[in-house]
Amino acid sequence: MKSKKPLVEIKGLGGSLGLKIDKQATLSTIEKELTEILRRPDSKKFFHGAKITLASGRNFTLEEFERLKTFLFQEGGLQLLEEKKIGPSPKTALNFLKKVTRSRGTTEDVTQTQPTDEGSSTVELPQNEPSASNTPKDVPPLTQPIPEDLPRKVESQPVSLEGGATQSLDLSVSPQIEPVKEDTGPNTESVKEDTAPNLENQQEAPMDALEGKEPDTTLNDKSHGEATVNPSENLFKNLNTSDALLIRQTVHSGQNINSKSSIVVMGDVNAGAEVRSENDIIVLGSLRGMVHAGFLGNRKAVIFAIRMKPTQIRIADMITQPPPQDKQTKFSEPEVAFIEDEYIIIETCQKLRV
Amino acid sequence: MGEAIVITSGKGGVGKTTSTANISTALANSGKKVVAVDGDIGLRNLDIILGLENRIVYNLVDVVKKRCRARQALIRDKKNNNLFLLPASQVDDKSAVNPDEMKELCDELKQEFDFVLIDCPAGIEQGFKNALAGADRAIVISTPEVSSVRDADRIIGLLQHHDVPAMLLINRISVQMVESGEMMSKEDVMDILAIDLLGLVVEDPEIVVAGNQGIPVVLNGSSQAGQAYHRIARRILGEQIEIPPFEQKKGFLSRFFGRR
Repeated sequence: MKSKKPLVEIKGLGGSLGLKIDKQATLSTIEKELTEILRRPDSKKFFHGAKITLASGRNFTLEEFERLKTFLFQEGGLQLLEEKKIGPSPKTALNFLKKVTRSRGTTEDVTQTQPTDEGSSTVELPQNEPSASNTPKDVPPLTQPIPEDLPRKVESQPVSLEGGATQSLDLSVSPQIEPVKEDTGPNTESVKEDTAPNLENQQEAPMDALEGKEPDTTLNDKSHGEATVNPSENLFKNLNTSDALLIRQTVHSGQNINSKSSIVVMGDVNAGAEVRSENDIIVLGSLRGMVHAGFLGNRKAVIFAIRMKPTQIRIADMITQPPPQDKQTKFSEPEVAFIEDEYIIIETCQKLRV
Repeated sequence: MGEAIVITSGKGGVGKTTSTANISTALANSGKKVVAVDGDIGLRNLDIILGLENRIVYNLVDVVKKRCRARQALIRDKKNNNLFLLPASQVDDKSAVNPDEMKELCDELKQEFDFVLIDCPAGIEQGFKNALAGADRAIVISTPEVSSVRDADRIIGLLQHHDVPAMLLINRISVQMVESGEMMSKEDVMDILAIDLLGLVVEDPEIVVAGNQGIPVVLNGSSQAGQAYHRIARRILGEQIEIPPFEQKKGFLSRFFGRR
């Protein structure tokens, strides 16, 4: 039998399962191939109960999507989540995100949304996760716009990541706007939805330290450990996780670290250095420079440091500087900075509790 | 094949030129063939500190632009046959040379000399990039002052980016002020800069006199700074010498009544 490239593939994709479907596949071919995949001996154990996203170049109408969703659930116990196009243009991504914020909730709402010209539609199955108590609806938009003089392109200060690879942090290249991640907890979801209204106002692209690349699937699979530990269960379901960039060195004056993910620095952040993240920032050393957590609006972001002596702290749209210290105290406790009631509070802590 | 060391700091006036002059003299006295290169094009000072300013015929820019051979531009030291100076130009500025040309020059000098010490100008622009181009490693000079440490930190970040290993030299440290808490201690400086310490040089008025006379302080046996530079040169050569605990010169009575 002539072996040809399958039109349907189930792949590990950025920490979750992805359904890759060729553009030209007809729905019946898709179903046939899926049946074959799902009939394989191990697939029942492997796939059942898992969530899968649609990562295809093929456009689906709403009816086709519904049919595929039912099919996957019946044949393999797979929950098909919202569509994730490969390489969206910013405009489609913007529209998509608008729909996500509008149609969040039950399946009844969802089935009423009309398919748009681009053929994208949002589908969210009712999850078993607890409804997010921190829904984004009541978070006010940024009151202070992100300063315009913020450099989009970080000049000639590539960060040496572990292993000696250097990457320059180019904010002006390929804004990879990702829709809501489905297998992380409520926290990260609310972050993404916060960013939706702001994307219209700002031209600021979400930051990604690994510019323009698809997430490394092998690394992410290992880091979340789903498939390798216990394939039939997503161990991180309902666990509050997020990606983090680990900087295994001191950040010197004049160096800028910008990342979409949380940042952990194993070392100091020296005065004159700037660290920005859309999520949390954790410094396992002395923080003497400027940090900006919750960039693009996440007010739940925190900043932790073993020695908190920053020149300036910013969380989302709030900015503050710590009070001047009268005495040079050599001994100090680890502290965490967070927003409470419209102020940035800094508290000592032995344990970081979010 | 020799080694090229760039002596840099970021901040101006912390002792790069003085340190280059003294370390090269001390290394040459130990028997090594050393050339000191003045990278501060347009504001040359290394020739003054070494006392060789009257002997300049050709300079670094002439060599790089191929107007003369390197041999013709090198000036042998008055007292020491092992020590040479490649002076900078006083009329050009830092745009006269580019990093590739500097690298080529340093490679050529490394063939003949055991050590090529490059005096880097202050700043992080073209002059710094030129001086760095040919270097194998770096000595970062900082005084125990906040602004100096901040600039040195920036320089260390840039050196890391260019893959040049660096060691720290803390200059102009005043023991009395450190003890009274008015000046950063070496631990404070190292806490921020976090690179290996090459040595400490105490504040010494003899440095001013030596600079004006054109006789490096390392040739003055009674100078504390001179002795410090000697130790530093020996550490560069591989000897393990501990940094001695510096004591301020105390009066006779204070030994009994003052604090330790």
